[in-house]
Amino acid sequence: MTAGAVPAPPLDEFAEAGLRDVATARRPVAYGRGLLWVATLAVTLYLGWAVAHNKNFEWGVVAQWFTAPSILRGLSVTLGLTLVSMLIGVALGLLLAVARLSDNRLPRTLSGLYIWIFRGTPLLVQLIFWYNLSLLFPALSIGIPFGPTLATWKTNDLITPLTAAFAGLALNEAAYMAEIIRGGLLSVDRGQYETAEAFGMTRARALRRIIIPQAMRSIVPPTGNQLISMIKATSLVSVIAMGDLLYSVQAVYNRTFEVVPLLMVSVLWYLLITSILNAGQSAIERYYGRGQRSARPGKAGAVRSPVANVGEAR
Amino acid sequence: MTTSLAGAPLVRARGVHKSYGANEVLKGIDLDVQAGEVVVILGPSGSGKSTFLRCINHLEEMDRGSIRLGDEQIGYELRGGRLRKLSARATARQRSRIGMVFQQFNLYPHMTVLENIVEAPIGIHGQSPGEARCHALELLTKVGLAEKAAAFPRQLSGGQQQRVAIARALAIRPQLMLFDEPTSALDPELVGEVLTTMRDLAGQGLTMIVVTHEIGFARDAADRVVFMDDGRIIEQGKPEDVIGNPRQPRTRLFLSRFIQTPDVQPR
Repeated sequence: MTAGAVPAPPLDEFAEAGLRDVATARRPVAYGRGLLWVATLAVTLYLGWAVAHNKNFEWGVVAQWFTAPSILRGLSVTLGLTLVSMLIGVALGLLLAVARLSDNRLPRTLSGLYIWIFRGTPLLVQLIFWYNLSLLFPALSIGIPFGPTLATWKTNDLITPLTAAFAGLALNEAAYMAEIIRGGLLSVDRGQYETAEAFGMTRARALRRIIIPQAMRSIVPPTGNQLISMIKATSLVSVIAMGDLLYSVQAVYNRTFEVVPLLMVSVLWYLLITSILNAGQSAIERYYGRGQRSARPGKAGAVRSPVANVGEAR
Repeated sequence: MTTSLAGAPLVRARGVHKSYGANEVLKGIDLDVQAGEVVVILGPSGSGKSTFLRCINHLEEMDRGSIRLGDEQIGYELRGGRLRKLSARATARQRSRIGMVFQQFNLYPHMTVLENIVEAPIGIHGQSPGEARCHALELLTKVGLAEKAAAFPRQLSGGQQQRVAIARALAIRPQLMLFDEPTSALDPELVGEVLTTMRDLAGQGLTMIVVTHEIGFARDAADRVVFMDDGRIIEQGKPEDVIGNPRQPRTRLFLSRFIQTPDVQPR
């Protein structure tokens, strides 16, 4: 439809008309910007040098403990807790979000109540509560309310530090994820719901095939946030005697008194994991962003961020 | 699946009423559409044409009246002599043979053109992917967009998107096609390509109900033109009668505003 490249008329043709082709315009040299770069680089290098040469960081000790078995064990607990809690949290959060948007008042109310309670109380309190559940309910059973009981367990057999940690982290996460996912579902154009309906899709199928893939674009970034918060929130489980990364590090420096280098060990690990997750998040965002690229040929990520030229503003 | 008895109309609407709060949009619509007939509904904005169209496949729930498609009413079931509302799941099954084209195209933006078209045939009608893809490419060729199969909707012009949406609706082998103002969201120069596609369909014996403002299309593609105003059908008949020689003053007034504008002629 559009015409191909039109050969530019010879320059003198512009000049004759008293016009100047913008293609020949020269960009001003940005001295200020260059200077800013140099200054920033200098400060960064100096800070890096200062930290690296500071004896108080005891980098030798950091290196010695970085891959120590007890630290790696703590790391695996942190990663395991994060992964499992997040998976349960996302799955439960999806159910809660769909329930919250239901036409039926019962699931809507229940979901709202759940979110109200689990978002409204501190995670630390929830963890301690789950860990000490046996104080409130010595035995747990399945049965018909006010009717016969089908099965009973002693609470202390069910609730170990591990299950209490999973319960606390996952149930809390589900409440946050529910709101994130609900926001995502609401961001999808009404017409998409309607089209899926008109084509005879069931609600479940419409969600799975049409709505959720589109909602993902606005669900993924805050979920990445949640995941990173979760990695750090797992350090709270040390209060219920779970040996996560921070707990293992503390165990070591309580013996050796090398507080700063051991905290650096955990900081470096947290940063490393977070960096990997950031890369993963970008990949997922690219995947769900397909179809959003503009028609301009040859520009893969042609959707320019609305703040892209803030730094260039004069 | 619904099947129409020989001679009986495919769509039969009687006394359809619909209100949004105190605002009564449909005030008793009676309309029969025969299988293979192309019916164009004209009328000013707010006359209830789109609402009526959406009542046919139960996207809107009517308050009173009845619309039968073949031997069933979408969204309801006759059991033991009483009409019962069907579950969302059962309604979805009933709807699956009605194709619909929307004003805003509503293509699935996260899927390619081909994926858009095969979604319902594979997912709802249980076609094999190979068969569905083959049919989809056939339909794309028919609407002149075979080379766009791998493109995303974003990369297409409005007219191209609407032609894909038409192919998508045809892919389910519909017994009825509903068009809800298919050209109203298009730039004027893109209207023609969509109307051409629709004219081709009209000539192929597909049952179509089209809500539009395109008088030219109504004149040369419709078997019957229905004129609606203020929630009622005011006038209906052959296009040359309703458009060429309207009896009702309101029809005449409405049409007079289009007379000066040259209509898009068929190629």
